[in-house]
Amino acid sequence: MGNQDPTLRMSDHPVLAIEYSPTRVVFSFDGQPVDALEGESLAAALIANGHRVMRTMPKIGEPRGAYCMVGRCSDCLVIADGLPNVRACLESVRDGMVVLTQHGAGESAPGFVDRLHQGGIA
Amino acid sequence: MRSADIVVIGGGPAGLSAAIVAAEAGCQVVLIDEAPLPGGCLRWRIHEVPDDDGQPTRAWVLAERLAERARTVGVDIRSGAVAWGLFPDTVVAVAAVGPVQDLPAAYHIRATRIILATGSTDRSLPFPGGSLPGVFSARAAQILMHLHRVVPGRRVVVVGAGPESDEVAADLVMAGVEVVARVDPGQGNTGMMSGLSLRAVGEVGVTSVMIDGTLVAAEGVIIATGRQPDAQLAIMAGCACGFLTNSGGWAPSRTTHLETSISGLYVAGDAGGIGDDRVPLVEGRLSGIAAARSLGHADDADVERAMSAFRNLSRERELEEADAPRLSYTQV
Repeated sequence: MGNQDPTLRMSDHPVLAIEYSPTRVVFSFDGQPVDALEGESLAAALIANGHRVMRTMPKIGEPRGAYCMVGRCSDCLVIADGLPNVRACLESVRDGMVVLTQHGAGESAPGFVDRLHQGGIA
Repeated sequence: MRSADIVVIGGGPAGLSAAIVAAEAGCQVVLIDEAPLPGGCLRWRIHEVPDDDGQPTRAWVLAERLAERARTVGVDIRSGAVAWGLFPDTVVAVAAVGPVQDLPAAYHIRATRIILATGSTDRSLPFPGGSLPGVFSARAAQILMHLHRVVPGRRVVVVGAGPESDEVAADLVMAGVEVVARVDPGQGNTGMMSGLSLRAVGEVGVTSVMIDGTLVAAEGVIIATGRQPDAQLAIMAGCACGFLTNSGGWAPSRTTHLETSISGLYVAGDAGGIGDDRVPLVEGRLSGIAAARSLGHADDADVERAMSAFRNLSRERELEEADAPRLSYTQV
């Protein structure tokens, strides 16, 4: 989603040293491969690659994406490796991570409630 | 349960300064910080800020220097830890947010004194389209650029007037982002816009911004309308608070030694009221030495030195404000 210039990574900066983690990884977002750097913020990796929508709201369905980047606003909640309500801004990217846009509330994540029941919870 | 002479909550410039001073005085200090590395806002700002001697220093360099000093003097820094509760008898409840080495994932510490240095959060601004992806707080833009080396967009509108707005606008330009417009929402202290019509437009993210009837192309809107104290723990614990009209709003009321209405609980830095970059260092040092003195690890002369620095800074700021154009705040 989003018609962004995908190269939102900074290539140089007058003050900051642009030192990237040397380890490139690939994770999937809604089934599409996304190039990222190991350990970076999932939200940053998504934004860098033009994916600004991270969730849609329950009931009203409006798109949301990272706003605060400090884990407070809940606009960046995604489903990561099957777990809903993951704050993309604080989550570190792992190679092979499977990330999905979270549509609605966390309990609507595919298979999540079943897993809760299997675990003897709820 | 674990215990400590002093638990400092918040590892930014105020918390680190308090911890350093208290540890130098001989107290056993634990510092709880939710970020993966200490430094607070200094980690993701590139502005030059004054150090303890008033020397302009790159923010992240000051962060590293303070963190190194804290480690050297024996502060037990616990990163990736959230202090989520204050309970009677000054018990701090802590939960880990990341992998922990030799600590349990959740535990309590009984603290003889607590210094709350939890800083601030960015003030938001409700406006049509303000919840679209592509709208970021000022610190979010700085975190994206300076921690993650990602720009929030190729073209952005910066909303807000004041030092935070100046700083983030300069940061964006330095990062090669085109700041297509800077607008002052004229909100004063009400949190509502006054005299400005603003709307972010787009289907699934910001693609343009309507400013007073003019449509400008932009993919990002950066809300830089100032900061507000974040003293949730003190407020939850029942501290007496006051509304500081010129310092960001509700904050715990404090004595001249920065102690709150709860005996043994101090507040230093932005959490006690928004100031400039000199304030956290001076307040951190004052609260640290005052807490140490109350435990018998420092004497009145030590406290008086910190008080003197605090008074000097207060006087300087009063004079600066008298010279500056007076901002008017609408009475809520």
